[in-house]
Amino acid sequence: MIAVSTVAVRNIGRSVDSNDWVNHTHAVILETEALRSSLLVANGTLHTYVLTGDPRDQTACRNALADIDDHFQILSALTRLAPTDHAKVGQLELPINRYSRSIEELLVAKAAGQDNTVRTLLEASTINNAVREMERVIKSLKDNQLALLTERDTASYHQSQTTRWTVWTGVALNVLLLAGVAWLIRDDLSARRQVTTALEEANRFLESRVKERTRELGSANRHLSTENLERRWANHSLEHQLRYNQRIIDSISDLVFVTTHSLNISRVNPAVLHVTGADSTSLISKPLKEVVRLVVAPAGSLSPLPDPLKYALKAGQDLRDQPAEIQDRLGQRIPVVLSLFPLRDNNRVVGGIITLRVTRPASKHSA
Amino acid sequence: MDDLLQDRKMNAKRFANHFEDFKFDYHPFDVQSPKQFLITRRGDCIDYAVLADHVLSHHGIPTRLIRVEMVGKNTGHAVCYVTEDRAYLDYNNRKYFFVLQRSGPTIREIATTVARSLDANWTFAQEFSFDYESFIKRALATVVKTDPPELDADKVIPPRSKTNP
Amino acid sequence: MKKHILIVDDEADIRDLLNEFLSGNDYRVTTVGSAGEAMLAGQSDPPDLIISDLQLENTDGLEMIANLKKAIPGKPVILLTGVLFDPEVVEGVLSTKVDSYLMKTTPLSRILETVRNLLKE
Repeated sequence: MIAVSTVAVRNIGRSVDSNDWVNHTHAVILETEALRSSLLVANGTLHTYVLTGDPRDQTACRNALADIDDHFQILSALTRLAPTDHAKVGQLELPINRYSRSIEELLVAKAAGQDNTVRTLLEASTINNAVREMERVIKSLKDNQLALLTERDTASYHQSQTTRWTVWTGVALNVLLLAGVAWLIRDDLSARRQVTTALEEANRFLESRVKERTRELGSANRHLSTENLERRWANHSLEHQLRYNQRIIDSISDLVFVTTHSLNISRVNPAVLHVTGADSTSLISKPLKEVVRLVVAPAGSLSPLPDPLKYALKAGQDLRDQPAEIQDRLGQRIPVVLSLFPLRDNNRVVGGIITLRVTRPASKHSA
Repeated sequence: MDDLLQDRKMNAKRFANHFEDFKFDYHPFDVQSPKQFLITRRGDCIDYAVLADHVLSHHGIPTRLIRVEMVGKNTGHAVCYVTEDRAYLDYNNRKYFFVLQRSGPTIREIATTVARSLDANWTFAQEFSFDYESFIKRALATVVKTDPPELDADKVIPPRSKTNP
Repeated sequence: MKKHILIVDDEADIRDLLNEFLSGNDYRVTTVGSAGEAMLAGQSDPPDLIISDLQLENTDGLEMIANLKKAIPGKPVILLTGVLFDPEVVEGVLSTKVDSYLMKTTPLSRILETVRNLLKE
């Protein structure tokens, strides 16, 4: 577009220049015509003055001479840069000067009433020769200008054709460029639409994934909440059950000892404290044998065992209803019936449960 | 004429105000006598420009007479350039408030402004002198549009003065 | 409309856990801590199902349930119990007085299943 504009502007500039040159050439032609007219007027008014002697005719003649000089100056200026034409105009200078001088002499002579001088000057060929020479040069100059006009008209026509073709070619190129741009834009729009569609698709996919994930998380959360509730419920019910079991054990009147595998006391029930009068801290970790003693060896044994309770526990066997004694804190021995049950955890004996039933009531002790 | 020549307050605008209701009457480059112009109140551009030049010069206001030829439009125009106002008096503007048209001082600038005001291209322009005694126009400098501006006559050689043509 | 469950238990923790669980499963839940409150609540806002502890403070749970069944007949009852010493014997007694009995160690999901079955959901 810039190239076309540049060419078009340049062509417009050339057209303007061409127009100026045409006007210029016309001006040269007009000035040559005007010069010739002034020459005729000068001749005419001269002869009239010669006949009439009227000062007005003299003035008119002098005005005509001034006009000749004026037109000559203008022609000289107009042809300054055209050497051939300027040379031709230059050829006019001498005849114009001769002519002007001769006319002036005539006018002065006529004004002075010197008719003979007037006649002589009129008959001399000076004026006529000058006029002929001027007319010849003027004609040559004019013919040259007309030829130039023709030449410039042709050039102007070609110039306008060139401009026309340049502009139309430019328009066609611009239309093609615009079409190309429109195609590119359309292509770009299509690509953008595709990208937008793909993005929307990706968004939808992401949204569905997010929803799915949210659902999964929600479900997992609900599951965790349910699990958490179940755990709390299970803990609570176990705790509740343990308390119940503890209460049941605590309400048993038989003495209950829980021992380690080595038969050291680890737990006692309230009945033990009540019967022995001891407190739990003094009993815990104490060997059982310091508190309870079998009276006789277990039935069925061939020889007395050094520690029948330890033996039974080690063998994992129950020992039931064995006579025994328990000593209270005052040292009083209380007869009891002893039973031992191994305490199992996953079939592994981890300790023992020894129960004692009092056979003869003992004196009450404060616990 | 006496009023114009004796008005102590005379300036370009004051001069122009006298011609507000004058009519246009074409005499191709024949200059009317000032008496005829002022009595008939009819004239053309050169009558006005020449009279302005005469009156304002009389009051010591420097002026120049410029003639512009627009060959393409087959017309010519003459104006009186008032140097200190950097503007010219144009008979075509006599009815307007702004009677002075601003322009640069060179013949080329004045010709361009005149041609533009007439929607035309100028071909050549000339500074000239005129006096009412001889009624003869004398060319002082001629400028041709197609010539390079640096070769213009009023730049290369200063224009001949009116007193020494 | 949400089904209404009345929970009777003297332990606040039990009441809160069951309330949280059953509300989360879209039931309207009322909790009370005594037989007296249960009678009042049951008559003023009759539930669709009752869950009660066997052992209430100062009251026999079965007796309370019998009174409640008279006041608002036709409502299923689930009895929550601790560990049964003689399950076969106690089962025989309990099964005549309530619609379902569950130990407190029963998982909540199983309790929910029982609720839904009794409410025919």
